[in-house]
Amino acid sequence: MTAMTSLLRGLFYFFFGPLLRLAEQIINLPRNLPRGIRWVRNHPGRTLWYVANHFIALGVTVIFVYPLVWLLSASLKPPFEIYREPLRLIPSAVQTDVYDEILRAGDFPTYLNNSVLYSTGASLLTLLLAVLAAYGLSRYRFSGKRTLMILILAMQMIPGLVTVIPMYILMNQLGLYNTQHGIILLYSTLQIPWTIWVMKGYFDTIPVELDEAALIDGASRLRALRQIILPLVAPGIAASFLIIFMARWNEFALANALLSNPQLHPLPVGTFRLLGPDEADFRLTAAASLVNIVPILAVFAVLQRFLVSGLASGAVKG
Amino acid sequence: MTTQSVPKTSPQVRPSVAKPARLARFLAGPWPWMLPALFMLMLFRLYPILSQFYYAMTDMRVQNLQEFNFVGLDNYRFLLEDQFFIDTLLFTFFFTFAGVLLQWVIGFGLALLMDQPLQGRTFFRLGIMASWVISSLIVGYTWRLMLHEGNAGVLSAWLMELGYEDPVRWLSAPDNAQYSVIAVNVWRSTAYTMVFMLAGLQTIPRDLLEAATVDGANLWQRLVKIKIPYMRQLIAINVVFITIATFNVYEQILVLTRGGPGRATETVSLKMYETAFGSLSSGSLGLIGRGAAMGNIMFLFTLVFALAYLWLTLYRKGDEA
Repeated sequence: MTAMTSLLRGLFYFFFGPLLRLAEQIINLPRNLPRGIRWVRNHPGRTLWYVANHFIALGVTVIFVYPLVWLLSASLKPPFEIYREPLRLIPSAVQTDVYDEILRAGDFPTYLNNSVLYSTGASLLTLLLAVLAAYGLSRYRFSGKRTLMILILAMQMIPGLVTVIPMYILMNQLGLYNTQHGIILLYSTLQIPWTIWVMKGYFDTIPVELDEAALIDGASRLRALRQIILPLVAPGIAASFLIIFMARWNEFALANALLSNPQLHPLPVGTFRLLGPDEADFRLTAAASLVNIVPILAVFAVLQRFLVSGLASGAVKG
Repeated sequence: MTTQSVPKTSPQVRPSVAKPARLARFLAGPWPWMLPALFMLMLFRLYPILSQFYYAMTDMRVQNLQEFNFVGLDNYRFLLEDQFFIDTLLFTFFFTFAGVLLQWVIGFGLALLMDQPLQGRTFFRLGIMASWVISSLIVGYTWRLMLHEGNAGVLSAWLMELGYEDPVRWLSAPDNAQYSVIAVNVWRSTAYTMVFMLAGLQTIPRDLLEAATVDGANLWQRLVKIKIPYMRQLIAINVVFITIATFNVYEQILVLTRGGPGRATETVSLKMYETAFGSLSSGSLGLIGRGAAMGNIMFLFTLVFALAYLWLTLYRKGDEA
């Protein structure tokens, strides 16, 4: 909403700035006009640029948001309206029967449970392993450290999809095919390298003296990490958690290959099995998609403020 | 930075006494911290990468993983002699090249826009990022509905409003389908480049830009002479990232066109998945060995870019030192 009001304010200054200036000359307005108006009067070119930027930003945002809003609208419309008035965003009547169908009758609650379990489990396990490793890499000096860091980084560059076939064979050999703990273990390894790098970056910003003080006071290293260092790097943990959670929540290709039991499917696989790769019912597709994206958008909305700093430190240090 | 120093064992001391000392030193060192993560990485990431080279030289089938024969390089030979696979490979390169170009140009443009004084910047940024937060599978489903070629398709409806007569065959005509999957992927991935580049733009010292403005540099000059050179490294890294990601796109195309019409939009990832696991309707033979060969081709392509990335980071480290 602030965007809208500011945009309107900018527009107002742009169009009425010259008029105000004229009015000022005619009726001799006081010298201390609001600062914004004076600025606009003195910088017409920059004002135009400023206003135009808002228009472009708004237009682009609409391109990115419109499909999602339309998706919501399509899932709630009465069936006939989808074909008669595809452009209508506000449904003439709200029908939630597809949601009932999905959330009550089908396996979707199971899928939802599985997705929460896999994403949370994998994120926490990734964080546990990566935080320990990052702490070791940050606090000790040893030969071959740089090479090890580079090898870890190289591993992150290879997407899981590239090795889906050997992973399938490995999971079969280990007896982890079609198991929940199997998919959590595999999922937890996908983001470890990236998380190690990000968390090492955060640990490096914490002075070693803090650890040393705790050690002198008789704490073990593990306790020093848990009670003194971790609270200080909480923003990094939150950012990492968000990125890992998003990646796991949205993962499809590996889960589709490694879980054949419908009771174990996470949401994306369940959605794919329900809708198939070919034409499916319009409203069902829209509703199933929304069930997939609403939870992750909510998590994103809550944690995104940590993301900018987290991504930036990871990327810029990269 | 070990805290306890271990006295050097003299040669008279029996090895059984020396051992615990060495163990203690090991336990006080960095390795216990890293071993769990490294073990998991080796088992679940490194071993699959290496073993795939072996599986690619067998005729393994998904129906029976125990019995298979060693066939040497036959799988690769088959693929390279298969005109369909060459077409798929070429389309994948086209898809990657066009996708990366568009993602970067649009993403960098948006980052520049978001770097300007904007009221409600967070609102715009989050709106654009929504497309990147949701899964590619759902992006595929969303756009399959948007690009519907019947009455319900929104994009067609918009064009009709604008006076366009014939419904556009977004996904059923080969050329259009190729452009459509590229466009959808750009829609999905551009936000990443925007965020990445915005983080970079915000590291440029403001003094530098202000000094240039005082010296009379205009917008374009500040972009080409200051911003882009300053972020050269970050831009290169970003391009490497999005190239790898785009080359490995799978879900969106699976849902949008499933590689069709014909094979017009089939990428290597789709073909690999289909060859190895397939769906019952496609009558797949479950050729894991041949799929692994495709996986290796993807791996090698990715590796080239991964090495480029490593080179870039190392070069940067050297630069700073």
